[in-house]
Amino acid sequence: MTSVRRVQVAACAFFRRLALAAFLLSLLADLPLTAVRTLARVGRAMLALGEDARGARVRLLGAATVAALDSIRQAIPADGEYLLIDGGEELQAEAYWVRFELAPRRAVFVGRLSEMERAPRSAWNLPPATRWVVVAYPGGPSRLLSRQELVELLEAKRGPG
Amino acid sequence: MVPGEALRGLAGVALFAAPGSGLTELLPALRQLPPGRRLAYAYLLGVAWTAGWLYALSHWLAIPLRSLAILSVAAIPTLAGAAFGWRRRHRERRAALPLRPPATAPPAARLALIVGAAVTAAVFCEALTAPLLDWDGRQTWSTQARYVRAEGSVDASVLTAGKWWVTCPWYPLLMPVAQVAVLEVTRAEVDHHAFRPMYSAFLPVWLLLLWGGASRYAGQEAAGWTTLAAAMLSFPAFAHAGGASSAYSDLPLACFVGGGALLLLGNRGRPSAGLAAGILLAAGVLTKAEGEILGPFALFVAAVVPLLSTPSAARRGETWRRRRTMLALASLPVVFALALLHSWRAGIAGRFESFTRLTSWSLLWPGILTRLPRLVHDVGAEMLSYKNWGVFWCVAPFVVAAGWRGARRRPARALLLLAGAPLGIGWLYATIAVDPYYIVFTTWDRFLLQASLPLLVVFAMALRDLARHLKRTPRSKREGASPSALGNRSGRAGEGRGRARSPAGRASGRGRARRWDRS
Repeated sequence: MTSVRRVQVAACAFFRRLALAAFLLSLLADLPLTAVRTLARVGRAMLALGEDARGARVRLLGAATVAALDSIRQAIPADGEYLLIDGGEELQAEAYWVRFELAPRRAVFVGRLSEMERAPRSAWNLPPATRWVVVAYPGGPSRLLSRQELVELLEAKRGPG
Repeated sequence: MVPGEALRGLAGVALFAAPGSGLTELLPALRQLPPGRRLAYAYLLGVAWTAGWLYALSHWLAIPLRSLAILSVAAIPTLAGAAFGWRRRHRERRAALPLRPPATAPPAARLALIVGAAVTAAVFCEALTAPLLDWDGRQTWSTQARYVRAEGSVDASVLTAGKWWVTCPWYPLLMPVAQVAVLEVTRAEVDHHAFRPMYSAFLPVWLLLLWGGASRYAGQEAAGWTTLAAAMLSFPAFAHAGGASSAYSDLPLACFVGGGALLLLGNRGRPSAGLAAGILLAAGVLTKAEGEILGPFALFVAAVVPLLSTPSAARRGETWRRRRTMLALASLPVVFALALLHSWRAGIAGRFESFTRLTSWSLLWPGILTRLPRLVHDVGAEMLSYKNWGVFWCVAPFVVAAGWRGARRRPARALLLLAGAPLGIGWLYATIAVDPYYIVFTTWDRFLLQASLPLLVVFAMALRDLARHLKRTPRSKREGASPSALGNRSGRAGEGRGRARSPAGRASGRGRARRWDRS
């Protein structure tokens, strides 16, 4: 074996050892994250022993949010439809979550409350046949309004003129 | 967690495991698998069979998705499998077949089992105790499931009328239908999260499929280390944007397509393996939009790559004759699923609207080249996220480069093609996206998950090669042998694919390997 070949073989062997060592070290590096996440979930489940599905919803969504959703569900029949308005200032996901919570009730998405406040009344695109309006507020309970209440809310926010 | 409610969630898993077990009993290629892998395939087949038939019956025959229909569909393979299994065991007892001694697993496999079981338990703990809080699960999949359940039909008016606000109404509904099946059979309230363990069960299934595929091509020790590394990846288990803790369809798609492809590549033309693979690929078609491409592509790879890898025309003919029945049986369910998907989608309002809003085909050229550096940067940032992937993707390229000889073996080409398909779709999607960073940020990890099974099997092959070279002793070098501490623990006849156990066999095995490589 020539000396060049010997150096090549030694370099390859070193590279392989390095790769294997890196792999074994990566397992050690990943272990803390896996252990923490595993133990956290098992621990949370232990704390939730005896809690039913509704209790879990209240714990994670908040009592006020769950109560608001329940009252909206009672008002709108399961096969009914409603106008959904995003009450956030910018594009946030609250409208999606409210639509999910209220499904199978059918949502007609109208837009963002802040945009409607700025637009002239003629530009509000409110489908005529729908009685209920739900405003989804990020980080807070949703509100159920009638069409008239929505108009009053928007007028009040726009102020005179 | 109340025991009664937890049982409801676990009953949802059993609803699919039972018919799947029946199907594995009826299909000889799966019946002969070790219990863990057999159970993994049983679960996948159970979801595919039950939800797939319910989807078809609801769409074509307007059969309502209620307990009677669901239990009837699940009962057919359960009872048929039970009867067939009873008869088979009765015959085997009479024939007094010798019991196979239990194989001893290498330490890495035992470690993988412990870690995999702990992570699975943690994921189930979360699924059993908390309502759904992830993004797409609430935005798309579970909302669709609620609409479908309320009307008892996959053609719910909210999807077909186009009057109401629905996100991605054109997404295939296999997983929402499975969710409806669980909730209907367990008579769960609309808010109940009894369906979540059904999604969580895909994590152990994914690990078992990986273990099976990797131990077949790389031996049990390399498979054990690879499965251990996979079990410690946070994204597949814990991510609320695509992992087993969520109600996304990416992990199910990875299991359906990956499991089906491994069956097609691994079995030497067995018709029953083809049928099982076809059912799984069909489920992939009905699970997610990408499945419509990945399912037929897996069939294509399984049909073409073995032929291209065969040098002589005579042997190509022999390979084709051996595999054609398997491939024909595999393609039947896929064609059925494609027909169902297109027939169902024809009635859906606002088709592809969500896709066309985010993309523009005019960006394809020269974007496919000019956007590449930015995409590589963004993709790299996603893959190197410690929160999602630990340091696995920092090390994996290094291991594959060092063990490159392992990745040159015959099955690696097909596996790399299979892994490349979802990654290619992701690349294309990001290229034509109006906001490529947003697409990479929200989807790349999930495309990676879809590619994970073939990718990790190739990783295991490289790891085996790496360790094999390191363990080569001077004595074995002189004899030209390469005793493999990783590869010789495979524990099943034929798993080494003709790898040498005797000098003669070694020589012929190497000759064959060279022929595959030349092609």
